[in-house]
Amino acid sequence: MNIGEEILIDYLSGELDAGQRLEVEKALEQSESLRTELAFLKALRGDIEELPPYQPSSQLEAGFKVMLEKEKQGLSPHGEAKVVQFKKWRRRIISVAAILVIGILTGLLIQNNRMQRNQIAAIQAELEATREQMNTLLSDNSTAKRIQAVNMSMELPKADQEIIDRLVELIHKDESANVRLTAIEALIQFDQGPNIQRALTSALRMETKPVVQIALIHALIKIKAEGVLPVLDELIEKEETFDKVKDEARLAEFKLS
Amino acid sequence: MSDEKLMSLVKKGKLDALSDLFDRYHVKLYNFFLRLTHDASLSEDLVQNVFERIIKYRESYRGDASFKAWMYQIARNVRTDHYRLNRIKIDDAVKPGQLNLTSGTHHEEMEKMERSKELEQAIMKLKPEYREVLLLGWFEKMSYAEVGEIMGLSVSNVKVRIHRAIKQLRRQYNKTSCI
Repeated sequence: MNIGEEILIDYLSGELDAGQRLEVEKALEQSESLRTELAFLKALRGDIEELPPYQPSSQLEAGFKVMLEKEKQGLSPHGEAKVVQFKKWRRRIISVAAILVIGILTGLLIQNNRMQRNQIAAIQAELEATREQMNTLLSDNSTAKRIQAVNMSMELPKADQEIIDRLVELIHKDESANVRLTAIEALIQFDQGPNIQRALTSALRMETKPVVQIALIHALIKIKAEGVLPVLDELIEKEETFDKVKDEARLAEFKLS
Repeated sequence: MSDEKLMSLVKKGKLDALSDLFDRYHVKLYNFFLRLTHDASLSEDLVQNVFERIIKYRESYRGDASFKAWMYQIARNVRTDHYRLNRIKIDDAVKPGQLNLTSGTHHEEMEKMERSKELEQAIMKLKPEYREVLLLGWFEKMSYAEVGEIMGLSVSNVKVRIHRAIKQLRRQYNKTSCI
């Protein structure tokens, strides 16, 4: 028997018969390199066996208990009778509910148009007010004020194109890394489409601060921007790129490809 | 009581016996799915589906067969069906990465955590058919015959896959970290 890695794997897995095991043990006594190989495989197997178990949430057990109870009720004749009876009632309840819902919906439809118009007007007014405040704060020299402006935008339920353009501009041009970081966070909250993917990719190409580079990489992974792969390659190739950034770029390549 | 005896009770309609089997295996199954899918919420759903199917198909359980092997066969089917129904290729479904290991403070614990993380990532990079065979064979400590029964493979086929899995794993996993 030619003893190499594969036989040692089978030996460790307990898959050799008594004769083969004896042969392996003899070979091990004579060969230092085989002993080293076995030690490696043993350690590897040990590491695999000792991988920490992840704990599921308590919902899993709760869901199981509910499912089991339902099944148990379904098994008993008493339970079955209940189910049949309930099915009859369910049909009646659904009919009455349907009539009620149609009536209510007709009434609501009339009111709805008016309410929608009011809501749209309110959202537009909120956007307008936020935009004005943002513009004032963004033109301030203080970094804190500019961050405050970005945070303000994040409180909006949605952003219009003008706000999105301002955020993209900040990510590309603001001198403060903290402002750029906050703007990245805000931007992907509002939009994850192809335009944003391109904007963040071009920002990553220009960015020199490692902390912002990493934030951009994380954001690009989050929005599944596969188009960033060539820029990640460039980052990894560049000598001046920090090791940690290179690691993140490699991981991103792995996740996105 | 053995798994097989408990399952025989379930087969006879004594469904409470399934609670014991759930206690024994739900964490293991969860980890099996989690390491194959890297999706915690999907893994919980799949575990739930396994136990639903155990009840549904309890009549088909042969009392002389290993419960564990039967259960993992169901688990594989549940996972395959999930991807088929959602039209996802199993390879595409895997999202490697951010499993959070329990935090520790001691240096040794940190080192162990780091090593586990590296190993998880290396396992994640294996081809799915190798990853599965490794998880069943080395992580669940099943024999090649049991793995073959679960995966519908011959023992020699399992052997080849285990060998290839370890070879691939060695390339991915930092050699120095496990000696």
